[in-house]
Amino acid sequence: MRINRREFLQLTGAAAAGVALGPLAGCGSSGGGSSSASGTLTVWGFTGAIEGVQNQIKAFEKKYPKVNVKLRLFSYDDIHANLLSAILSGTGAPDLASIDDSRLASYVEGLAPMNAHLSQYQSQFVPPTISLSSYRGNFYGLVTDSEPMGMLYRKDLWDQYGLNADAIETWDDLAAASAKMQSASGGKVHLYALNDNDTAAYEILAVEQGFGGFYFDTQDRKVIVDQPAIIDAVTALKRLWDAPGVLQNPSGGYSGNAMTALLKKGTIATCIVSPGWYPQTLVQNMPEQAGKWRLTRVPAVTRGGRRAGYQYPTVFVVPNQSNMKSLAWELEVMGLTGVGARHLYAVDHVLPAWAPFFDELKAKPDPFFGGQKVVEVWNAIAHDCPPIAFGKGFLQAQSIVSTHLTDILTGKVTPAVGMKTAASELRSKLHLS
Amino acid sequence: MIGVNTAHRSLAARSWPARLLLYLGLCVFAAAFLAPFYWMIISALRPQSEFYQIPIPVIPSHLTLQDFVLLFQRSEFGRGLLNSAFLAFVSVVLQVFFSSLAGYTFAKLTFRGKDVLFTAMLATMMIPYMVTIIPNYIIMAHLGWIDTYWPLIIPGIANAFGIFWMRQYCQSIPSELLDAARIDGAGEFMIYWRVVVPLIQPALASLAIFVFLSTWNDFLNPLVFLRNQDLFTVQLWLAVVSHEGNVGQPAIVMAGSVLASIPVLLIFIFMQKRFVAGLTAGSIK
Amino acid sequence: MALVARAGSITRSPRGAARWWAKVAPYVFISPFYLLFLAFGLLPILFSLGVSLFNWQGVAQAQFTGLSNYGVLLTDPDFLTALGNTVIVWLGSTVPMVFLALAFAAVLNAQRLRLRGFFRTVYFLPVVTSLVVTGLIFSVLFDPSIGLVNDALHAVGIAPINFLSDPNWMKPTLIMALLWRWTGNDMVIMLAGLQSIPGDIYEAATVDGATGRQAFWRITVPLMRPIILFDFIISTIGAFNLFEEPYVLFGGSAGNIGGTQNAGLVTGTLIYQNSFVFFNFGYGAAIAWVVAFIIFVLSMLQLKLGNKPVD
Repeated sequence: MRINRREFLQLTGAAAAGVALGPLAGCGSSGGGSSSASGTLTVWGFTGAIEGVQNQIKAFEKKYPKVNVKLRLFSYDDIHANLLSAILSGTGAPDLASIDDSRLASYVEGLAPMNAHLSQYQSQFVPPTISLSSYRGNFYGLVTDSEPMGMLYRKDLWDQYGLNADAIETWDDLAAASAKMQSASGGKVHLYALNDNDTAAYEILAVEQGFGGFYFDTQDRKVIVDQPAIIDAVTALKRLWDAPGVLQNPSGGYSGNAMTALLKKGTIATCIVSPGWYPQTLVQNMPEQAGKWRLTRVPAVTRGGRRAGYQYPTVFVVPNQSNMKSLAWELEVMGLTGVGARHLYAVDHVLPAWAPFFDELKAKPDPFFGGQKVVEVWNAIAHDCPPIAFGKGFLQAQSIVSTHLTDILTGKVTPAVGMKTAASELRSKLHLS
Repeated sequence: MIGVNTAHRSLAARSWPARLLLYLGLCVFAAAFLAPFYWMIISALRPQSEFYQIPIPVIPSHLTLQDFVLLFQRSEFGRGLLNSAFLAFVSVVLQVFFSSLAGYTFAKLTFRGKDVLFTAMLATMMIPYMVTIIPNYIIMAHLGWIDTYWPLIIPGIANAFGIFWMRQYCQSIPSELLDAARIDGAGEFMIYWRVVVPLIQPALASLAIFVFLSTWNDFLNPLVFLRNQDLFTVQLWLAVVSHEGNVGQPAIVMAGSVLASIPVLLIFIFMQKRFVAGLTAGSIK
Repeated sequence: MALVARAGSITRSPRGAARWWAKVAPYVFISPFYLLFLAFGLLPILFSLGVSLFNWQGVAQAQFTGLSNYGVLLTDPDFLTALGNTVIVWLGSTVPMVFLALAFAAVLNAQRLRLRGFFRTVYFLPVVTSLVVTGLIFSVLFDPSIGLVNDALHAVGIAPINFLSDPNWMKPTLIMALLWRWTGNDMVIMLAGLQSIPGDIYEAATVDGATGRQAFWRITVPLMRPIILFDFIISTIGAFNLFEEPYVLFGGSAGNIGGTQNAGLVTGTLIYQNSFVFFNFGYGAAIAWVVAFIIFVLSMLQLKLGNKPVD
């Protein structure tokens, strides 16, 4: 996919607007020549996402003997600042990089759209992974894993205290069950934990209400956090918070240290916020609990409503600066499909995004979950999700909503007032409607 | 024997209950300071699956080296240690020399514009570093210094903190000593080198500790300027192994942190021996 | 003596050359700093000043907005919260830390103290302990359900306190973490400073009949004034730039760095959040410059107050 020189200069020149710095170096040709098979291909990635591509480097170099692949490892948090610096300064960007999908929108002006490849891979990837690596109609790359939101629970504890997971359909059912757990266990075991600033919980409910853009519409032009359906959802969250026996505010949130320690100790019986990658945390830190856990759907906001949420995987992108775009894409495909994908999933135990492998796993029983065929459940959740999208102001929206969520849950303001205030703050800071 | 120590001769003369209380107090603080470090070592010697076990055992049940093995499998940590040591050593030598020279100058020499220059230097410390990272990167990219150690060494020589520290310390150098040396005909640099430097050993030693520590712990600069894994420092590797995707790997980080803390501790132990009264060593008779 | 002979053999007019060098030497000695600063420090600072006048978000196009970022800043509840929190943390940690450090240094300087080197090293350990460990320790130790601190409180009949999530307790916990982590570092500064006091003064004082405590307050503290002043100013700069500890303790997710109701948000994390999470560079730069101005004013005040001549 080629962009013309004028658009290209606009992109890199924009980065240096008003300041003398900002070279346009290293940007001679636009679009990689797929026929030219020599040079250095730079790849940036982090452990937990890069293993598939890493595994395929040898095979790739065999196919293109004159191309040398250089891989640089980052930590999960740090790759974004570096990629940004490189794109802004017009030099030093890699040919292929893995970034968090929630930040994709911040980079799009510096990335090469891959629309030409979309139709070929659309069917090869589990929904909604293709939609979330697109922004305003442009497709930017493949994802490493799928992250539907489920609910994990300790069947042995639920049984012990007379609770039945199949009877839970709505969040209010869960809140009622919490009271039951509280009295049955004498306060020793909490059914679930919740943080008053937990945007992950909000995001599950937003998707359940049909808002795949979480805080915005999927075209990233409107703020939606004050929509009536969202206010209903937040009200349900408040009831969840107010339920007797809730363990409130474990430090570090749903994936923090306190939560892990409490789960290991058996003080908490359920993880209500559980992305597809979360089970690995349990397997790693409390192997002695194997066989006691089960996976089920998250409850719905209204009876009969959607019971699905989604988080944000890692996406591989090709910066515009690269003059080996086609080769980068090819390496990306090799790393995220076929042999590369199998290797990635074997090493990282994440939920596959590549559909063929995902389908293979569906029939496999998982010993940690007592032989349950968990991938089937994850699959059903993923298919139930509306198209997912991340706006440019996603992280800022998280921060603002988080603050107001605390006020709402602690009872300082009503959900309607809190979300309306959050919406107006968002609109002014992001210049949206 | 001359030394500040005699001021606290009263310490020795105190009754033994008071001394016991003092040692008790010292030990309470020592326990608070030591305990987390001890936990760090213990966690590094236990498997990851036991990391979150509450209550934390004082003596672990079974020890293993698997965290260290995984650390070296998933990174080039040994190389990282050498790289960090090299960077730290070079930085210490350069920064201690240039800072002490400039600090002494601000403290004891008179020249026009001294106050303005000093204030301006202090002012440079006040801009939060974070907002200069990206323009810094652009400059280094233009110089072709990305993926080298130059950005990590050269700009650091201008260490306002170090100069400030030396200036404060050098204020207590008796001017008579310097005047005497001048009368003897010594040049300005010789005065610094032969007279001042021996007197300010404690300040030099402590600055060495600070520079070593800040270079060793520096994460942001190596992150932004280095590309090639062969050049990675210890902190970069620690960050790399800290997560497998979203899943944290604290036990491995503990193993790496234990190894990373050893050189700094050695430097500290070596340098703190020099905290003996230096300004009296050259007393005029 | 040999120095004079050498100088004489080099120039024709040794006195003149020496006098010229004596005039020029100070500038030469301080020049490395300024040269390097001009080469590497100045441009980025000017760049960030320029950026603060733009609405520049991520890779998108920047638009000139003049001083509007500063205008938004002064009424932004997040900024005002961060500023207030920072001042509280600054005062709450700096003042006790300086005094604790001086006390430790004084005690650990006594020659007759046993295990002096051991205690010094142990007190320095927190500085060397990894930040990850510090964060882990504090989150586990102070957790309301499983933490030892709350167990102890429970034993005395006090309800569990959520140290890291209760807005009333977050700053005291941060201050405690800072005191634990950095007092040893300050202690090194004070230990070094104590060596600059000649022993004769103490001898004279003891002869005059001064007690240990009198010697400390009448001699040690005044003579340590340049060092104490240094420590206060460095701590001021550090407090307003503080990033790592609040981030590790409160920054659960990238979108919520300040913790509950932003009670743990400080200027350092706010700048980071705007620049490297939201990619809102213009705004982040504006915050940085306002903070720089505040630090400058506070530091100059401290210098003025502290620079009275030492007798």
